[in-house]
Amino acid sequence: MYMRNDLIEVEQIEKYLSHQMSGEKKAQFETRMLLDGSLFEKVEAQKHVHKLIRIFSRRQQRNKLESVYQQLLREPSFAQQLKNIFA
Amino acid sequence: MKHESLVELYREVFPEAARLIKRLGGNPEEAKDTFHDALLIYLEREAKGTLQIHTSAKAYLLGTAKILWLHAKNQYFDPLPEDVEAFVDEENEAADEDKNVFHYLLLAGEKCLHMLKAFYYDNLSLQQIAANFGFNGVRSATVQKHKCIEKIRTALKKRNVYEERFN
Repeated sequence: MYMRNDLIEVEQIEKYLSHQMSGEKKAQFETRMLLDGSLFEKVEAQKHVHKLIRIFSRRQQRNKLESVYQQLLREPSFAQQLKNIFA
Repeated sequence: MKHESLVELYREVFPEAARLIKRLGGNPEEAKDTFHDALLIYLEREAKGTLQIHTSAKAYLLGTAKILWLHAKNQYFDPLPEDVEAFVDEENEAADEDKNVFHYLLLAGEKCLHMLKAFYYDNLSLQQIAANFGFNGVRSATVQKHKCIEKIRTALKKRNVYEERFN
């Protein structure tokens, strides 16, 4: 499948951020970042995107854990156990 | 981890974790929150393949919960493991982060978000992602993933420009 230039750049930045670039390629990329402020900005923004995805994913995972908790509370023996602990 | 295994683990370990947090001065809500943090760290390590259990999953979760609790109360003086520290920092940051931040993620669409979670958080392979999300092969899943990232990145950039200009 044909990939647009901007997507190739997304891919390169991803390789850089996930430490999948060889030493030489990495050095070249870092030089380009120094010379090209817009590339530097894109790298920072992409790092931010990764972080947001992590935060989003954790919220989803937390909701899942909350639903497991609610499910277990409906089991009388589990609910009683907790009640006793905090009695 | 399969849903049933997660429920099983929860049922087995939570009462013990609740006892522990209570002993350390916490209430039921705090016990649950701390236990969920410990479970998240456990599940994240499992997905990344960095989970190393020496005795049992139970001991592991109780140990993590204890460290997290003491750390939150400024009573833990050893350095946290690197990933735990990153987790704690990011979760504190996330609590402060304005809720609109998810607006930028949602601009990319639900399908994008779930796919990005599957790849970056659940660590599924592109083969699995292609199959789960109905893409015509790894290549097509890869291109789609890059498009999703780019969409969010561009939206964030616009926000930053806006903030620089008006704040």
